Amino acid sequence: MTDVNAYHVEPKKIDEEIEEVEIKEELAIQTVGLKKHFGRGYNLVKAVDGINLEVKEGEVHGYLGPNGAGKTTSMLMIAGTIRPTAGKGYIFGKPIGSPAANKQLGVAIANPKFWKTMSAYKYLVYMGQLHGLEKTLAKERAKEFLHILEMTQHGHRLPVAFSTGMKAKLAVAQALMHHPRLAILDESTAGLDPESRFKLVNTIKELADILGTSIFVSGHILTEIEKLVSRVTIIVKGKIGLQGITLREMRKEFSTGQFSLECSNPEQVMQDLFNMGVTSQIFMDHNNVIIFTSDFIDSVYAWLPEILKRNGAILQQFGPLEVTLEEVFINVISKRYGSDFLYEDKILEEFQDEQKGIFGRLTRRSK
Amino acid sequence: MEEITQPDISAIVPMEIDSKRKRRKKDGKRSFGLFIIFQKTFRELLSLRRVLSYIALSIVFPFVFTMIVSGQLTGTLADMSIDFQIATVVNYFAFYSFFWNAGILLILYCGLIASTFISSEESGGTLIFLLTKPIKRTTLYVGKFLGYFANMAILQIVSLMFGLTITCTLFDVSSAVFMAGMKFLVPIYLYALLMIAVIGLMLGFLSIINKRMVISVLVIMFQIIFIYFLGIIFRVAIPTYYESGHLYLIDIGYNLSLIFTTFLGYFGFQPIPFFQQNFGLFFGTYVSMFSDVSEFIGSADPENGLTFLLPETGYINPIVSIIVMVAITALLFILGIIILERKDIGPQ
Ligand SMILES: Nc1ncnc2c1ncn2[C@@H]1O[C@H](COP(=O)(O)OP(=O)(O)OP(=O)(O)O)[C@@H](O)[C@H]1O
Ligand SMILES: [Mg+2]
Repeated sequence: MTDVNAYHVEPKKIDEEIEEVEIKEELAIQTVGLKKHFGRGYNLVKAVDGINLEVKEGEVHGYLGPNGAGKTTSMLMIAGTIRPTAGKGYIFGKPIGSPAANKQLGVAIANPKFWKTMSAYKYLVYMGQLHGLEKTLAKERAKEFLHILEMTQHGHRLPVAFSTGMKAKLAVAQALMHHPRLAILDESTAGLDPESRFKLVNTIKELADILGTSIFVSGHILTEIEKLVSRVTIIVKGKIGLQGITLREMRKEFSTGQFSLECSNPEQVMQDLFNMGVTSQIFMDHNNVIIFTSDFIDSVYAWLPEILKRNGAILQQFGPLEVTLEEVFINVISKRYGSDFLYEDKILEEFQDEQKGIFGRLTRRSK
Repeated sequence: MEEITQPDISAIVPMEIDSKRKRRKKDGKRSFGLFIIFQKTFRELLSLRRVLSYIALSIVFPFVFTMIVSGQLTGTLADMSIDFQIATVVNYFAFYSFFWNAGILLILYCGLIASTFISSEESGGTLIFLLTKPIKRTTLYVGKFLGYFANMAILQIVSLMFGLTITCTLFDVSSAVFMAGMKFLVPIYLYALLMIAVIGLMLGFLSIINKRMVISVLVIMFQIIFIYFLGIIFRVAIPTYYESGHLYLIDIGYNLSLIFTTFLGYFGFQPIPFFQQNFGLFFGTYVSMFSDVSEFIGSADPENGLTFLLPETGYINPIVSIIVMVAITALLFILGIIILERKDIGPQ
């Protein structure tokens, strides 16, 4: 009988905890224990499993994760098209899925679809009006954005006949034309060629700067994301793997402590550095760049000009080896799920573990 | 087509810079989401091709039927008393309307449109964009419904006017008869509006829970068969059981015809034998006698033709019929909105 009471108390507690969370209106996105489970029984997919996101106003926030991690699902929950199973979310303090929240929001998704009978220009006008823009203003903005995205000459064409790149641009235009305070872009540059992608990313960044729009962006091309974002969140299997960290913090945290030195005559320079005895793990990579770690980096800085001079070498580049977002990404995923995460059979195995329940998962984690 | 002019480049960026916050507040006059959606739906449905095909189809039935009937009449209708002329025209017109203009054709058209309200946007991948706009899902649904309703309401009055004109022209009656017949457009139109709303909300509900066109078409066909042809089978095959088993309660055709004749009755409609015969046979509104139609038309004396009345069956109070129909529709509307509000719309 006492057991029954215990069960009654627990869920209440959890509810209260969620209620207690302070709604921060200054945050562009705030989610508390946001969950989305699809299906039941054997088909149960915990697409998003209790995430707490925080995206600050005015920042460009990257949202990364491997395929099927739950990026799209969580973004669409914030955008209000998918209803959460549990948890709460706010856009500038307004509950997600409400018109008040969507008023401040613009959303573009990968592979956007359009109406078959509406020209690109009319589409933009319509979308602007739906966002509450008055008709003349919507028209003005539509023209403006067609121009900014270099599509003015295609304005009267039907977007269903557009190329992938143009469709993506049109989707971005409809997401930004009403000058939202927050834009959610889910792989908006998927399927674009490198040049168009570069242009689109730059345009988005410029517009965001000008309009003061916060951007929450996902994607798989990390070199591009790296250029765009100031902070990133990594999601793995519906759970947060790395929470809202700035690129600088990230570099520090994931830094290997390595330095790289690029100069002429690398062999001799490396020999001299080695003889100095202040470096460790010194080696040369296949691009003839010297890589080393050092506990006495100040002495290295002090001696380097001398060493170079002695060997008649010219310095090309020297500094701490920067970790790329890609490396962090793989690091985080492997940290959480073991370095074999990317092998399919391991994923399958884990899937089976999950079917077995919590115990299966626990034993795997502890490995 | 509106010219898409290059905007003044110098105006683009500076305008935004000094006004990024102010502008958001300044926008002031805002578009109404409901109206915007209403407008788009209405305009799209009002395409010339659609209107013309509807009007063309709507006059086929009155045209063919009147041609046949006027050929069977002994003498011309114009020679008979004015009351008889009016009664004949109005009765035939009411018959066409119930069967075709505000009947099968209307159900087909309304059904096909309404069953795509949500489903076409969903399978077309455009719904996801609409849902990211600051508009309630309910508003979206209601806006679409209203756009469709306004559109069909206009098409329907045009279709009925054409129907009456064709009937009068082929019976070769005077314009006085036409004017007298106009009065009966009101109850018929009211009934048609009721049908547009009911079919729209029923199939609109289907559009929320079903994306497959095949299912929608099957449901519409089934509906038409159920309304127009199931009752007659019941009454012919199991005439005693129809009454004793209270089958009329689930006979939609009977209930609709009851509502229709009641509406007409409020406007002083007097049924002629042809009308009573067929409504009795198909829908059970009158006590039916299974005999040849032409016999009644031929034997109907200009003077006493109007007095040849079959009794109404009166199984159900028509008010109850209407209330139940409206209640079921309202229930489906509310249920549809609840389902729509909870629905997950993901990327295609
Ligand atoms: N409607 C749905 N029904 C069932 N499962 C779903 C549904 N939508 C998504 N999922 C599942 O949820 C998980 C997360 O999917 P999601 O699309 O959010 O991943 P993602 O991070 O966007 O991946 P990608 O990088 O490939 O776009 C996947 O395992 C997917 O199969
Ligand atoms: Mg995705």
